[in-house]
Amino acid sequence: MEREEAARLVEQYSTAVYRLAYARTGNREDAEDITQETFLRLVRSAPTFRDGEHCKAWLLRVAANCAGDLHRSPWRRRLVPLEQAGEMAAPEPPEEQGMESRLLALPEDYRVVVHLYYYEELSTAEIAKVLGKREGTIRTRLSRARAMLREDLQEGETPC
Amino acid sequence: MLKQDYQAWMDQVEPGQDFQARLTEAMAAQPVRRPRRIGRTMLAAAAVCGVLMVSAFALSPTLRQMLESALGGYTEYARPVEGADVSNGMELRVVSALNSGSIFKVYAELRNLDGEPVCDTLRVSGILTPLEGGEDTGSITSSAEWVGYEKESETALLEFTVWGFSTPIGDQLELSAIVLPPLGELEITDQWKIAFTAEELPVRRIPLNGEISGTPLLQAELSALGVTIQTDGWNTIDAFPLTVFCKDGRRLSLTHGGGGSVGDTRLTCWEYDEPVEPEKVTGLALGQWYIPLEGEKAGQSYWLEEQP
Repeated sequence: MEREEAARLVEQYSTAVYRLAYARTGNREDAEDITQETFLRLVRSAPTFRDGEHCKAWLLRVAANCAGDLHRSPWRRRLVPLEQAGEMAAPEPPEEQGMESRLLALPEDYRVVVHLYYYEELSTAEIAKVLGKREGTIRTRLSRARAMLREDLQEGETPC
Repeated sequence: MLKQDYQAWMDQVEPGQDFQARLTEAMAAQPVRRPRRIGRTMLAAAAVCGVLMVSAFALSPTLRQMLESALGGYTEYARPVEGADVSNGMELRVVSALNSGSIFKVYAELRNLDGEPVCDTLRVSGILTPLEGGEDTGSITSSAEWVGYEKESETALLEFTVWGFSTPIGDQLELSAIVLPPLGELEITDQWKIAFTAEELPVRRIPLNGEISGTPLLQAELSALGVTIQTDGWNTIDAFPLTVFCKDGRRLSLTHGGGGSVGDTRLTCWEYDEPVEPEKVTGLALGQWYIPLEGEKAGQSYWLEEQP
């Protein structure tokens, strides 16, 4: 792929993909791995897109699938010599009682739905299309996630 | 409040600039392929159409072992093939092929006739076309991958994987390939075409109905190499994980390989790690969308409760 085209795609979509991956994993290193794998699949597959939204939906779908594969993938396992381990920065703890800790307390499959609904502002139907799930499944996950996050329905959010 | 809190938090989450730079470089470096693992042979570009050079060169024991390692469980499925061409003193010879309809693997040797080593930074790309059959069958470009190198004979063993023919194309094929010029250069200095015969493996083709995520499903094609699904329109389904359900109860997660477009339809191919006879497949799942397969027909599809 031409470097210019690669740079354009990275600039346009990498932050959105990274944020989805981070919401799913809560870990910057894993989010980088997922983001990289997603974009390399884009290069290898070379799919045809109607428009930018179509491309973004494809990337988010692949990222969600890659995140699911993360736990089974050999590239997740990182081995470093013991003498280097001491130089590595400790993972940052999630902010106590903040949004991050609340999100990471959710089951992994719920986090992606929450992210796509609240941050990417997709409808449940659109989320179902992106993830290849039934809309009913998405509604259930979102409803349970919101209950677990102690959502205040009186604040005007539209219930599922 | 939840939405605002979430957005405020996520707005602070950004990938590092150095990561984005590395990502760009990694993408720009594709599809250059370096020797990764023994076992996958690369097929280098073929010679000019119709010109075949008969070579007395035989597959050495070392190269034969490399080929068998590359084929793995598919060794008994591969068919020996013959054909060769020479360009600028480099000979390319096809030695083996797996032809399963939409998924092809072709193996060939590449060597300099003067005995000089083959440069391992060569980037080879090729197109496979049928010599018989109708038009609009598609022709997919694939990059060759180094599988092994025999130092004694200075011969590289290469593998081409090609995906995406939409109709049965028969067993008369032609591989046209070139050595890709270095970045910034345009001149192609080496190109080959080789015609050869590769018997097609048994393929099970099943018409599909319905759609997934708004993409109409047209046909599923099953072979021992993998599964190809043909869809209508521009949308792709390659982001969906594919699971195959077998008669013996196994559920196999396939690896997405590649695909192509033919007319207004698109083909998406997934590959097995080991051979699976097509008649032993009882169903497919794209994500949670399950398609039962009964003989040459697809049953009523439905949503699974969980991702298989």
